[in-house]
Amino acid sequence: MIDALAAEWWKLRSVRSTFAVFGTVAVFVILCVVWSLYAAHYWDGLSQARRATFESAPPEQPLAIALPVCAVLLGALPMTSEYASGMIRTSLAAIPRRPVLFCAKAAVPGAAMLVAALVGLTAGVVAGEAAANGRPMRGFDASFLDHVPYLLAMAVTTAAITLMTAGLAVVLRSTAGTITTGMAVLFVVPPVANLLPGPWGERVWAVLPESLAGQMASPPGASPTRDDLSPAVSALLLAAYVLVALGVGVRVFGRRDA
Amino acid sequence: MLDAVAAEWWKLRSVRSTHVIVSVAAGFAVFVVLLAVQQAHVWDGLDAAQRTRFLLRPLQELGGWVAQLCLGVLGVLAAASEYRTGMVRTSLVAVPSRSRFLAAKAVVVALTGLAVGEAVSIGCFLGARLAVGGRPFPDQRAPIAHDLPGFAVSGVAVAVFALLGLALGVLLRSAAGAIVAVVLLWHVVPLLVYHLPGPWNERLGSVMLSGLPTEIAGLSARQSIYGDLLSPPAAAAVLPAYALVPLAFAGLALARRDA
Repeated sequence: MIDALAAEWWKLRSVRSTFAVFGTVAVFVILCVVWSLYAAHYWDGLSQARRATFESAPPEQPLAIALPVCAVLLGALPMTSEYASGMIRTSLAAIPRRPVLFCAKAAVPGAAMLVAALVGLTAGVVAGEAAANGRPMRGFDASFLDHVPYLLAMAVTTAAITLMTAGLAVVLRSTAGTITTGMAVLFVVPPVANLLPGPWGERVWAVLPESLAGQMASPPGASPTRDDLSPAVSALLLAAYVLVALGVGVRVFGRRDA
Repeated sequence: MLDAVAAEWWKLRSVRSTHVIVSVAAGFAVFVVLLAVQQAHVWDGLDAAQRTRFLLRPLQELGGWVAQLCLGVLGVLAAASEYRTGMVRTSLVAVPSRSRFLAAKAVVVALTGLAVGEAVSIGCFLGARLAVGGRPFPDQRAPIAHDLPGFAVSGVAVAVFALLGLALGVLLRSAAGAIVAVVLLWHVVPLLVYHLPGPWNERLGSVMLSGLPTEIAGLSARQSIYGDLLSPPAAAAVLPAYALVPLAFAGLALARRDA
């Protein structure tokens, strides 16, 4: 298993797409910094009355929108790019035990994404705090420690999205199909859920993967507006999604010809 | 030129991804109509005050919005899949003029995007109207002929997305990279812009591609994440630019680079 992990790590760090994904994360961290500086500058120009009603997205907002996209990419490519090039057959010749290969292919990007999300989100929040520099701006006034539970929940959710995508990738085997399906779940399902009648819109929204981070640990200063799941239930739900996706992945990968 | 177009059409209609994409777009349109049936039931249970705020248009516009993503992916695949398999070299042997090669792809992708876009967009508009019957939703009182051009423009935006996807596919040569770029332009950047403090959220939100059809139709964007500062003619000028400028760059890159 260690050898399989090492091999996958070597592949991951040697392809250009990995650098593109983590480069995107880095660019969005810079956007977080620009965002915070601009918000602080904007706040300085406001009157006292406007400052009282000032509302801005928190400093990590740009990264929070981009992270799930990066997570889908990183989860899909290690699997689908080998199917596209046919190298999956070579990989299977080297590691004939398919559950081991699949788990390595999911675990390595998952761990990489977890680290990248933690580092990026921490950098974004720290930069926001530095930019706000003691200004009592709403969205920027929470201390770093208040952010910690939410940042952890976001990073874990991001890594979970990578793992789920790995399961989807082995079923679809197509880069375009996997990424588009992932984007549809991230961006199309929420507005559709919003249009569903009665309590169903909120129920569907509450169980979507990206909504779970905010329910596991609510962001500082946010008041729960919808009937949220409890932190324990949302964490269990996320774990269940990952286990189901990985289970389906192991089964499909074990049964089909490469 | 006609032969090149015929060849591209043959390729496009013979791959599985085209069928999947068109089926997903069509299936989503059916889903929108089903949701409209449900909205009609919700309407029946509302009192008069709630009814004045209950809109159907966000649902009708959802079909075109999803078709934008679907056809954007179709455009990407029209170029990127040939780079992945290496078949682009065979294609260029068959059609050595690279500008003609790109033009043929653009014609086929644009017409497919236009056909699917108009079918989905107008289908969602008329289907949802049919589904709610005569119920006087506050945004459905105008005659069909009055609202139809707006939805026709939204179908054109789908073709623009398809061409944008094609151009990005040629420029990036990677399905993953180009699809993500399409998704960024389609929803991620508008979402980021929406969170900017005013007045920049409205200014930048007005030039976002997905919001242009609303501006061309001269409607307010208050219910959406986009802005509505451009006049209809200005928005109508920006819309084709989103396809033509990337295509021009793609043409340059295709002519200069090895395949």
